[in-house]
Amino acid sequence: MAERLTRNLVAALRRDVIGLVLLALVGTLLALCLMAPWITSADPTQTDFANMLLPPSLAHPLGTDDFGRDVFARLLYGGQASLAIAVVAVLVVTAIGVTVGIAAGYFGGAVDIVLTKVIDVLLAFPRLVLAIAVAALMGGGMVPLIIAVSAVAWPPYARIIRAFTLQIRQEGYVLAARTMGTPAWKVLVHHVALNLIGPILVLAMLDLGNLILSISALSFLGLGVAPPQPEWGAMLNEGRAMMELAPWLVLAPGAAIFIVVLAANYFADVVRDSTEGRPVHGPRDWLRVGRRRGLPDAAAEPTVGTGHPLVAFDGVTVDVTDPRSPYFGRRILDGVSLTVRRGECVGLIGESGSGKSTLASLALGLTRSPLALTAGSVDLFGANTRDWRWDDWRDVRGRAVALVNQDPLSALNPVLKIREQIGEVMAVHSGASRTVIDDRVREVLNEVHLPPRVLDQYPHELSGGMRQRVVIAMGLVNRPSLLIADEPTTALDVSTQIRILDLLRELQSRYGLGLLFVSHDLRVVAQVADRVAILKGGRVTDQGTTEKIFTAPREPYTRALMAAIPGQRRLQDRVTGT
Amino acid sequence: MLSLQGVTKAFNGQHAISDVSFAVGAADIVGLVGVSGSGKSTIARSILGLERPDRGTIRWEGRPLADRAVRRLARREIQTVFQDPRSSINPRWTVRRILSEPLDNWYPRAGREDRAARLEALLRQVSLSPDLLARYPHELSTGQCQRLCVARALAPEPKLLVLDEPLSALDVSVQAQILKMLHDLHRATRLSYLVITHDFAVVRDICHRVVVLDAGRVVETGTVDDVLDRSTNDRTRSLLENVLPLPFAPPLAGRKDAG
Repeated sequence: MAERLTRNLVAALRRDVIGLVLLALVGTLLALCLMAPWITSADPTQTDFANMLLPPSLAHPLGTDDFGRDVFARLLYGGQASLAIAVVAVLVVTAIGVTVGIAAGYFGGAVDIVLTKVIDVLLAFPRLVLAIAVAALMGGGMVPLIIAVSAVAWPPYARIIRAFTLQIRQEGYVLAARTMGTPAWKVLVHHVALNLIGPILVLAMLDLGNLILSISALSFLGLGVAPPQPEWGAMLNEGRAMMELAPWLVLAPGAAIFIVVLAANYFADVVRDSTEGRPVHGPRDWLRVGRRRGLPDAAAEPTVGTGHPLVAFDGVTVDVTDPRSPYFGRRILDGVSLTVRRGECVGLIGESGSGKSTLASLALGLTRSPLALTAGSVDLFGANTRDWRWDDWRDVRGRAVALVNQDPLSALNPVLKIREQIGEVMAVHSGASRTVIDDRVREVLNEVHLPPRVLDQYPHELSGGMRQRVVIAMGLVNRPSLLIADEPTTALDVSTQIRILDLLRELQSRYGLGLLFVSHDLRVVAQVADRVAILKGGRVTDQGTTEKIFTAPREPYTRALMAAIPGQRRLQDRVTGT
Repeated sequence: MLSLQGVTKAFNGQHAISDVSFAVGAADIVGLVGVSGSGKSTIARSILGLERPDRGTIRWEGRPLADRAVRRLARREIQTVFQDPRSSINPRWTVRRILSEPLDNWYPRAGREDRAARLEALLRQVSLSPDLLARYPHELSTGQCQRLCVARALAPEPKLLVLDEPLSALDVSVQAQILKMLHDLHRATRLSYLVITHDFAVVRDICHRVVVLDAGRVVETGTVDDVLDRSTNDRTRSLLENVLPLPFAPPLAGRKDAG
């Protein structure tokens, strides 16, 4: 893990100019602080009232303060104290916070209750007041300072780590480790703690700035580093009174703290990304935002019947075009041609990685970096979509073309009632009044055979099948002409599957809906599709009416898929049990 | 080997399972079938010692699982393969480390060579290449992940494998490969399986006996042939009717050995 982290880190920094500049700045600052005695001959505590409040000059690169002490020397020696205390404090705080948080989150029960109460009480005190009290009780000095600062800083860490632990505890691999006989401490260290590195790093770095400032506040009150000794925070406070007279007194330590905190935060992000096993690819939607080109008529009035197919893919080829992607150059779809007409259900069968979801996303204009359409065309309602911009697509999505996803629970917002959930889809596309929308929502619920009481329920109160009906209702509310169903029944029970498939078939015949049904399950596709296309490795290997594909498959791959349908045959040579 | 007698468990006053009794013998493959919410997972969690039954006893090799010593033994001799292979392995670990975890637990004193030999043997049992040892889970296909989970479960040399919906996260052709692998493994090792599934088709393909579960109760127990083809129980029949029929009989269906 350490080896991969270093490798990722080096790779990330090589591409990152800002990161390198910050690294160089902090490195220089650190080196200067550590080598202070060799760099400046001035004594940071030597007062010289003849030379007080001198502006920066060759003799005093950062000027002198109100005691005539050299600010540059104080900055360097002060950095030693500030950074050492801050780093030690961050380590102590993280150690306490992580231990308490993981213990509370993993063991739960009484342990959790006691620890959470302690955290609550500590959080209720104002942080600085508590730190002052602790430091005053222990007397001034470095060690009491670290203890005082850490004692008040760990509760927020513990809180956040506890929440993350609760989440990781539910992960399959933690359950697997427990059933495998892995002892609790090993589960905690190997599975829970190591997966928390990302959030811990970010937390610690975010707090570094806070800690430096807390330290300075305590130093200012005489509870930390004793006054003649330099320390960044203390320097900031001393200089405050002379801000107008001698701004360099504040600017020097201020800039130093600024650089350290900025660099720490930036690195926290870089390191966190490097701990991820897979490349972190943010969607770059903003690149696609463009001015609207004006919609083709057919898309603007999707319900008007025309001779055009609803969607026509013609020789569609999609490649990974982003050179930063590890899959750069890979071909996802290779010359795929497929049409869906009004009132027709086309089944698209393919295994994971065959490109079926990519094809579905093309019909919604949701193909994005690192993927791009490199050849062929996608026609919606007879209009070529090549030049469509984001806003053009937005008019079509959810209105003329709707999508039903695999997982109904993640497709629904857990804090919205069903009424708002469905109404929102209609509201974004029409200026209709609330009563009109409400009427239509009731109507569409009836169309998917859900009782009106569902309106005021939340997603978690519904069963999986009911949730999928709600998602279908959201798709139907704007009366689309084309419905794309991407594995709509995979997450459901067999008996529920049958009812959802019946519903889709009924809607299709009643409203003349075109249906593109994407699935890996041949048994499901056989129930609904009029025609079937089989996708393998980005190519359509076989296409034809459902009956032909299922009764007289010609292609070897189609035959292999048919043979793989479970339940048709017994595995040979069964060993008979008792 | 494993037997459940009148096992009952309630959550918030509602019975998740009530009075469940069945047994799994040596070299036996038993299917536990039911729709979601029928109590399949609660039974699995009870067998794995993650839940404590309110009433009834679970016995392992004739001794009650409530006993600490028996539970420690069972923790080694009963291993599990979960539904979603991706989520049940730590995404930040290499294949080597994932497979080493159970070896560390059960063979802490194994030497370097012994361990390397074991790793290779485990991978061979599930037909994975030893080249994969340095890979991370996201570099494997879902089918390979599921094989890896099976290999991990085999590491402590268990006597019973609890397979919790081992196929439902997989593609059709991969399902067939994993089924075949499980079947070959059973022939080679005589390991017992408890296959938990909602899919009667899977039961027909691999199981010897089947336990049909409905609303937390066992409605029927018997051989696969008796239950799937000649059941007289109304609940079983209605559950069987929910199996997606193939509207067109594929010509390649090797039905000659069915029944």
